[in-house]
Amino acid sequence: MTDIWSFLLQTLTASSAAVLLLLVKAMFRDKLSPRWQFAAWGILALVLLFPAGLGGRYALVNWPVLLEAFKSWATGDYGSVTQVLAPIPLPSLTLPTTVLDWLYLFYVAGVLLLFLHYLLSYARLRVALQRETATEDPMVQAVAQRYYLPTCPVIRVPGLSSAFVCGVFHPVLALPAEVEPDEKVILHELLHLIHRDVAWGLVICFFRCLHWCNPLLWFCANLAQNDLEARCDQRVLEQLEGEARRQYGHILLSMADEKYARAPGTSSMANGLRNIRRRIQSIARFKMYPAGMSLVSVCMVLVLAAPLLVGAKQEVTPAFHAQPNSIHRILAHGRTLRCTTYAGALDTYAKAFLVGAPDCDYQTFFSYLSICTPLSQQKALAETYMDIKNHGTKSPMLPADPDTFSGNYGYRIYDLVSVGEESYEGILAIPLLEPPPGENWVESGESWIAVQTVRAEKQGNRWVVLPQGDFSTLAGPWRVGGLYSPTTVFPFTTYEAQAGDFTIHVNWQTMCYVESIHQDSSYGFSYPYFSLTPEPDGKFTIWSSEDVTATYTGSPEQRNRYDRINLYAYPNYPDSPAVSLPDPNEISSENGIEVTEKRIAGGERLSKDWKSPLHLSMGFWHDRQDFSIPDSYTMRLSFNGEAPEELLLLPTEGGAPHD
Amino acid sequence: MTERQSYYRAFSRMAWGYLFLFFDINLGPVSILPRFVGFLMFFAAIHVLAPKQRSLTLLRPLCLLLAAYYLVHWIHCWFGIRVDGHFLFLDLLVAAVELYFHFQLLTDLADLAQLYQPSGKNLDQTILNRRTVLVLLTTLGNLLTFLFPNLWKNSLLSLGLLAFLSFLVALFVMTALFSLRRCYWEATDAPS
Repeated sequence: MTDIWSFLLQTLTASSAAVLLLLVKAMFRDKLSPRWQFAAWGILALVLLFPAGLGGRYALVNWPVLLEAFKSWATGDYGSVTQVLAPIPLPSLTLPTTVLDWLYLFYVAGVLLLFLHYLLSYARLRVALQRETATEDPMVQAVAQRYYLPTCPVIRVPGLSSAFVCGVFHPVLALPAEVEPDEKVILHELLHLIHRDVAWGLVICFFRCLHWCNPLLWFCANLAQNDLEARCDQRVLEQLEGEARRQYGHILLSMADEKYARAPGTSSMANGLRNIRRRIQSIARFKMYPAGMSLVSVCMVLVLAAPLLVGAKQEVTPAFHAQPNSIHRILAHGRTLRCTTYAGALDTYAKAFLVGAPDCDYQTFFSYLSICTPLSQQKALAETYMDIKNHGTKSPMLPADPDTFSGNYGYRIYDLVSVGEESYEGILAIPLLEPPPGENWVESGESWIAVQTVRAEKQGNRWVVLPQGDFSTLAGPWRVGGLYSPTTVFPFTTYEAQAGDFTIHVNWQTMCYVESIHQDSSYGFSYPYFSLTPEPDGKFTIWSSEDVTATYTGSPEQRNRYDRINLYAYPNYPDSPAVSLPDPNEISSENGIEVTEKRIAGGERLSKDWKSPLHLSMGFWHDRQDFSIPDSYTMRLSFNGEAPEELLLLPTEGGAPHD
Repeated sequence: MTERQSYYRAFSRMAWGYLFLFFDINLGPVSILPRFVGFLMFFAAIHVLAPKQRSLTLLRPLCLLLAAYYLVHWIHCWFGIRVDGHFLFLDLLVAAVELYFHFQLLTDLADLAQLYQPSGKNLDQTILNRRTVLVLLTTLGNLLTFLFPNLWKNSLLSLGLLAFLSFLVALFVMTALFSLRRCYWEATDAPS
């Protein structure tokens, strides 16, 4: 915990676990043994020791979002995400400047003061006990021998009202000097000794210090302390029989009006009227629990503990699920999520625009956008939202409704390339359902698209998206099926070589998206649908196209002598081994040219009136593993079945759009 | 109806109650063997058997709670709304209650089996063994559901395995309870 917000996150997370445990314990008060009742507090102890919100997870109540929303509302801070680094307060290295800094300092001071108070109380008690002489008490020895229990030095203290054990490593048993205690009281204390209950008391004190200003957790600490005593009572009753058990109850009753002052590092049978009343009720319910009870006890603890400790992952939900859906809550939801991959960031960014059609769900648009927006720009995002809401300012969304219905399915990112360490840049294209304002419908086979250059960048542990300019619109000459085909609008990397009367080009382009087609089923029918929910951990499905064109540069008289082209080519990557290419004439010219990730191979028979340039392989995407771009292409090319020529195609300057 | 008949019917209800709990046959989104019916059958049976086994009375409020919880789920299903995982607080509470409920119910029924089983037959031990398997399987199912909700929902293998194990457990528990019913009928048939 490094600031007041992280303390609040930790203590609130623990509080919701405490409420659940209090409910479960209340339901099972008369059904499960005191041992289980005390063990259940172990779950709360583990929750208190686990940093809240670790790995972006939460348990029971989504405190990370609620707290972030409150923080934004109270302080106007949108640029940070509260994190709990450790379950204990870590002092700030800077001087406090704000009220919140002073509050945190006040909290840390409270922890230290309470810890000091407990330490001094214990030290004072130990000094007081050291004034008396430790002996081997015959009565204690007799009880220890009868019940096969270890013993410890005994100190008779004048004026002491009830017995207690003090210390964990060198414990002593303090007994009243004036009266001889009942042997059941000694049995109770010796059982505390053997089970090291004093140490459990110290653990409870530790949590009291950490959460000194949380009354709910103090209430739980009191109950836990009492359950510790009730567990010891249970152990005593298991050792006793018949009348002795009833007498033990009477002894407890006789202590019910005694005042008590509990020092840390001690155990005492007398612990106040209200607590003793609860313990008496527990004794009245005492029974030997059936064999196998431990099984269900352990199972119940596991079922309760696992989800409380592991928690649930923050999930992307549309903004209308957040009630009330204020800007603080909407952006807090996005901020507490984070994109863990660049693909996830770009998918989230694209889907924000897909879901946030003009005049539609702009709340979800901002919610999704905040997931992939840098923390430093979150405040600007909030201001934009408020401008739209309060002043009707034009939204930064798409110029027209996106097409999420037809086979276009959402978005595509073209030519994504690495532009530095953990930074990628590409062209985001979103098909539009209708022309942008002021534009006309385009001809059949074409469609309008919104285009924007975007950069995904890793900032801290978040991948964020930085748009490089505004959206522009294009009426795209998509060849087949819109975005499914390689497009000539976006830049290609072009490789070139001269072969006889032809200039050969390989135009290389990539396209990627996060697969969002899911299957849904109802009433026995299964159907695919495009999910508009972002996938911040998503991975890209990558496609590339390597279009081969041959442009005739020879004399018009000579062109009719060409009737067949065969080729075989492979891409050269920086570390790829050299490959000896087969003779392209061995490949049939009838089936066209086939392109895969590893090679381009095939042939084409030319018609009598063929036109230049020859498009030898166009309109096909093939899947790839990564975005790596070849340095060059090695190609063996043959015309009319003659001896093949070996070419090296090198990238041309710029890689401009080609026709 | 004689007391003997009403006890016999109570044991039957206990056995058939498990059918509703562990067999899930859906018509569209709605189960035609809703779980809340199973718990209501348990409640009715507990009401009859409580004089014979006092600790069964501890289960009455829990039984009602579980019936109400599953009734709410079932009503939501009619409207095509799935509420699983939306109220983790309640889900956890119910998971703990259900574990204890089955454990204590079958423990109490094993105690009753001890009363009515013929000498040499270990029906009580059989019920206890099946109780242990049931509790362990329910715990495992709960842990997987809470810790890996997506894996659990999307994996056909784990779903199939869970369905198969549930089917087996329900079958074994039901057969043990039908045996208990027969033991009771035969034991009370003899003149006392």
